[in-house]
Amino acid sequence: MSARKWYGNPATLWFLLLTVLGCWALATTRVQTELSLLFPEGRTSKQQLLLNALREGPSSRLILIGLEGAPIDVLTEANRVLAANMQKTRDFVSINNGERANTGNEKDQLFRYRYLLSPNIKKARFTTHGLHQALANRLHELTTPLSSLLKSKLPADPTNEYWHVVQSWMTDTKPRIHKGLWVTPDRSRSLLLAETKAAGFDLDKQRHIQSRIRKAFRLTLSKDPTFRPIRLLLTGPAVFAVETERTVKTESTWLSLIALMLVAAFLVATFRSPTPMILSLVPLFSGMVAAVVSVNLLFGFIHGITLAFGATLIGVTVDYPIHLFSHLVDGDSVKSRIADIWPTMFLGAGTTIIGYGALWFSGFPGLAQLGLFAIVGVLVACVVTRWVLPPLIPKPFPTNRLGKPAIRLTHFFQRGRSLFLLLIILPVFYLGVSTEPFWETDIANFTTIPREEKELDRQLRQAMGAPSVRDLIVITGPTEQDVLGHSEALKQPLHLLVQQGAMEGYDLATRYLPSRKTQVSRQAALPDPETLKTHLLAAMRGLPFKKHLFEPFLQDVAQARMQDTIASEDFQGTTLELKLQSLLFKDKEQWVSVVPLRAVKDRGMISQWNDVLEDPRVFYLDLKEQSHDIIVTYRDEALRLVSWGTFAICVVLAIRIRSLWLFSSVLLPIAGSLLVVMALLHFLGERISLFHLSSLLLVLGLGLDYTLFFNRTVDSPAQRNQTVASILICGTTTILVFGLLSFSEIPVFRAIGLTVALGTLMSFACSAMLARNDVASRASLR
Amino acid sequence: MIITWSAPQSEQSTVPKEAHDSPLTLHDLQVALTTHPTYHATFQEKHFSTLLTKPLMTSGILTFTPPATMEKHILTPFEEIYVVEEEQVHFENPLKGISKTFFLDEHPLLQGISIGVRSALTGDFETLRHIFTLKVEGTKSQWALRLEPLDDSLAEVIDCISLTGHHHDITSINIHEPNGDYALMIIEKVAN
Repeated sequence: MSARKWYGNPATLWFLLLTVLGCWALATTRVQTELSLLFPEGRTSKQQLLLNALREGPSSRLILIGLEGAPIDVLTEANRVLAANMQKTRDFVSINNGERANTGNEKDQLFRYRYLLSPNIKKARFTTHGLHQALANRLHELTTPLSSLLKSKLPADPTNEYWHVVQSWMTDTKPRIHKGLWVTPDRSRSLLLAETKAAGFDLDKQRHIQSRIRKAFRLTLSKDPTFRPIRLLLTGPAVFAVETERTVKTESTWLSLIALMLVAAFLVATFRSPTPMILSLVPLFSGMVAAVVSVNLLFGFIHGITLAFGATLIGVTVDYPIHLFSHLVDGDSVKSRIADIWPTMFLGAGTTIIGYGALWFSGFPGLAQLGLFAIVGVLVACVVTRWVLPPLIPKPFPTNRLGKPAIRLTHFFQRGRSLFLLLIILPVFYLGVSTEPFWETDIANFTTIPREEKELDRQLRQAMGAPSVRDLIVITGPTEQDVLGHSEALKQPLHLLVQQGAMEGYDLATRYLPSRKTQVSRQAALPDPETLKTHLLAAMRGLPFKKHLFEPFLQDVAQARMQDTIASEDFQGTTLELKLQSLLFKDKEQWVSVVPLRAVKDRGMISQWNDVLEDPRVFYLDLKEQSHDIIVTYRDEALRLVSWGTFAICVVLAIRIRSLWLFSSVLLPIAGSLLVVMALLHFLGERISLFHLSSLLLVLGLGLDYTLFFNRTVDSPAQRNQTVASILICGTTTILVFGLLSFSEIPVFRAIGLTVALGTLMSFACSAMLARNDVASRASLR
Repeated sequence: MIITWSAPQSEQSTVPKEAHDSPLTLHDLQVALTTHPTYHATFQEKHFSTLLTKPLMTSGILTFTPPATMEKHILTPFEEIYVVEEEQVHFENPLKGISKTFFLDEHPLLQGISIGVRSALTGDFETLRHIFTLKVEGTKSQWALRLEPLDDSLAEVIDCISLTGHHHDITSINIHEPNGDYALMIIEKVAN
């Protein structure tokens, strides 16, 4: 090396380039963790809407907070203090604990607009007869303790419009109140509902907001010694997202640390030297850096899942240097060894690249990113092993001591060669007769959120009257008024569906905000001041009301006739703002009104109604079915691409090998191992998802690598021992890493880990079974 | 087991004469009321309102079944039934076809009255003291208990509740609201 100038050394140049690239990647790479970025831009408008709702809907910004662990009076007090402390952070659009619902402003506003908002405004209501009936009712109510709060409004509102507005707005599940604040029905928890200014998917902001809530809570606890036993409960989509991110980060850190240690210990023990282990990392890190940089360059960001999944995928590139080290014998030159195994290594790497290349063509950003990541990573690692690594290997070479055990193991498997046919038949038979569902279709099973937390979320949601919805009717239109008018027209048919028992109820935006047209027609139903006065005086006859009691009523009606109509902006800062925002919003260029359906019993009846309606601007959405559709679409896309990848691999192999017999002895073990893995996964209760499928692609690549090396043309039995040992070492490291992953709590990690660990095991076993043990004849075949 | 109260007349005769005239303490009254009886009575209620030129009258039947079920059944001028059971209220108006169940805490006035009267009937002064300041006047045979809300939110709907009684019977309930309205209920127990 001393004879060469430093810049003539490919390794030095490579390290320089790698350092620069690495620094650049660190500085510029944007890692995103938002799940919806992985999805395509919605195949159908329904899916698009669902994805948008997941991503940006106001409900994604809600944080549900519970306080528990002390008597309810203490919790209520603490709630008040916490709400005040949280208010100071300015992180929230609103903080609601029941208290705000009772503030004067909001009620004043409702009261002011009662003649435009009340669903009961009709001409008949203000005739002598109508008014007399209303007054008689009010008289009766004066004797009941139920209407005490309305009594003060009686002089201005004898027809009870305010009460009708409040009544029509009441959700059927409103929170219980204790001393003015929300509590759970069993009074064990005090409740708050906060809407963050930051979007639900903005995890960095959400993480900070949540830590500020915890800080506000600690500040609350320090305020009063009786608060000390109180516990804080947080749930909501953003809380789950932040928690998931943390779980993924911690788990992946731990798992990769342990895996690294296990693999390092194994390699050091095998080669009796740390050098191969350290040098094996060179191609891996090179591949990783190149992959991250290229994905970031092409997509503008790299998704967290791509990074985690991609890193495990190209983790197998440590196999390349291991193959090299395993084939080194003292007295040999590294150059000749690498040249010797290069064709096989390149064929293995090339087919893996082709397999992942298929993903690159996906219209799904998630799969495409993964494809690119794997192609670049594998290619770079392979090239680095070929040209950068050899000059770095010191002499004398560390040699492995697995040659003999590897051959014995191979012979063990080869004795079972006659059973190979069973490995094809049994899985096919088992998968054929099993009645358990094969595919994963429930998106809920992809989450890492523990069951108890989901249950807590459900409880708090129910107590706050914000139950999560599954069924929606969506109305779209060019303007807000258009959508409002449309949804007013739907009230009748929806009511009919309730009567027919298809569902228990629905929540229309127009319940809170009537269309301008409706408001104006209500104004028109109000009589002029003179007429109203005449009718009122006649209506009061025979009733013991004081003579001038209803002056405020006459004034208010006169005013309401001239009043501006109420619009969605008028709800700003009220508790209804949030409700209205979730029911009526602008989505890109169109207005959308969402009608949540309650307790749906007959989905068939509702979708039939929707079909008969034949209105493209109104559609029924079953969120569960839609998310199910998205998963299936994604999975089918993966399946399609994996099939194309497999086909491409076969074509390349066929061209390269040009021997039907050799071709089948390379492919048969792979087919066998894939089948057995599928059957084993199914047997273990796993439902096959996109992640299993992508992992199978990795298994395919590994399996090819093994069979190619098993079938490699060798010069001597000693060399054959080395080859088999190198496969064994590669297989063991892979099983160590992925076996560890299969113990993860995170479903995606477990899916990958289990599939690859089992796949590697089976690939080794099947390749060994069908490998030809006659070295001499193989050698002479060359 | 339900202990039925005897008629006030016969009860009166068994009480020693000295006890009648000695001033009553809260404790004495509590002891007198702690018998947890079933209570069945008729009532007449007059509602005075600042909005009206004359009071409104209602009448009907009051029933109390220990430990916590109260029923106010209005018979005239219209039928209306309130059943308060623990924390729940069942309301019925047969004429209007209304029948609904809700929680007491949704109606602060009804809640204040129900807890006040129920706790007084059972001698549960512990609960009363949590919600009201208590003042007692008179003797065992002729007492008056005045309840004033401690809590501001309750004070917004109730000024005070005055109960008068005769031994362990309640003979009238007077509910004053802050707006000057008040309802006076005269109770006459039915012997059973």
